[in-house]
Amino acid sequence: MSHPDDGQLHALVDGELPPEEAAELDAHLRACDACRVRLDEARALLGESDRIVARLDLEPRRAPRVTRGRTGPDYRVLGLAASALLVVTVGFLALRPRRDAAPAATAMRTEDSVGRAAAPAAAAAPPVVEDQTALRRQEAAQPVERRDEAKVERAEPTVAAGQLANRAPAVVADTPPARAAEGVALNDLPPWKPKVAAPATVPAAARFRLDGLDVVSSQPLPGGGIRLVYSVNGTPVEFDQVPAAAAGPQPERDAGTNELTWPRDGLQLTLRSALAVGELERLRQQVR
Amino acid sequence: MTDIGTLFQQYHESLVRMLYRRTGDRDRAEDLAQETFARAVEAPPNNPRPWLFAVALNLVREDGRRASTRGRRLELYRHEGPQASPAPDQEFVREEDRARVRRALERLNERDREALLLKAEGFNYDEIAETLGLARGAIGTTLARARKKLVEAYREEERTDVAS
Repeated sequence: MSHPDDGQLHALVDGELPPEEAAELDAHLRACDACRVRLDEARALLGESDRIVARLDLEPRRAPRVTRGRTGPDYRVLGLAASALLVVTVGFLALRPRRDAAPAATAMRTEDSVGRAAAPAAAAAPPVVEDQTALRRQEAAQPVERRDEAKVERAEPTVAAGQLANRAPAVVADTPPARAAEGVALNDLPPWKPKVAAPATVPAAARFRLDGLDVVSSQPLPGGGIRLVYSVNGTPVEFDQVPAAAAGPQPERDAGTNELTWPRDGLQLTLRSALAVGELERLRQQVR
Repeated sequence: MTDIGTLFQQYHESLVRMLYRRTGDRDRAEDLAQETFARAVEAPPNNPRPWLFAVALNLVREDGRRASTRGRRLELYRHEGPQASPAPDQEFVREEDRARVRRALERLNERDREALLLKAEGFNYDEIAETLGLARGAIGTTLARARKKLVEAYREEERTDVAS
């Protein structure tokens, strides 16, 4: 394989190179110092670019907006109002003369669009549309934390073990059983919270884990770090998480072992395995 | 057919965030997101995420008003009450930085910028290609170019701010 272009290097770092290409590129990188340097540069560029974009964060609104001459609802009510609005819109669009059966679309799961476990169940401005909705909304403002805990216990893995597809964060809405044609019963619905795959046996000390894979074993590392060992189709993968301050020089590794190291949240993370670099990059996308 | 409520829960926040980064205007982002979902009600999509984000990005393009010309918004209303509000000068610095990021993003090509923002929302290459109508093989190059340009532009903006 001749020297890769930037697009291929970035695709490799994103874990998006098809396996054959990744293997070829991996072989080239073993032999080409210059391209290894370019790969490091690509990684650094990716990291910095991500950090820059992340500065445009989206904080949930709590206080009413003072702009535009109206009191804006906070984010949760916004979601609710929007959903209520959609109920009305769909009802208007799809409602037939017969009033007994509500349109199918009202089997909506309208919940808070942003569920924060720590959010106080503060009384918010009532939603725009229906009084009945407002009443139910207040009923729905039950203790959020209790429900969230129940939710996490029920969470199921969203990616099959061993599957290495590069996927977006596992955000799956909870789907309570379909409602009768009465419309939305808001007080029954738990507040929305992104459902994240429940880790199988991740030690409490591990800040990160690989999504979709089960930990085979774990051991503490000097300096307060931890090593999680996974198995990917029979090949062991070590995932080290060490406080950045304590991170010393990397241990000696065999010629057949590849390593990927990067900083995150004050830790130094390392993936180490006989798998190809491209595979490691894919796994890196699954760090949660 | 996925119902609209589920779609909303799954994608609304992500869509608003992407639109906010795309337009630089929080209020406008939320309005555009609402309009996007309203369209999904009328024509429920089979492949929701690329569809939603493609519609939203089209709305941004059609909508002639560019938020970047509106100037910086001092988002005073983000004080949170019981917790200590950040000191006004801290908030100002953060807002300055956000404006800097927005200016840097504005210097990218539209397609490059959109690809970058979709990636930031967790889209994989196939999904980015589908949403933007690009060939999958072009995504790596697009992102490489976008990232490089963003970092360069951001650093230049930093230098300009320091010098002024």
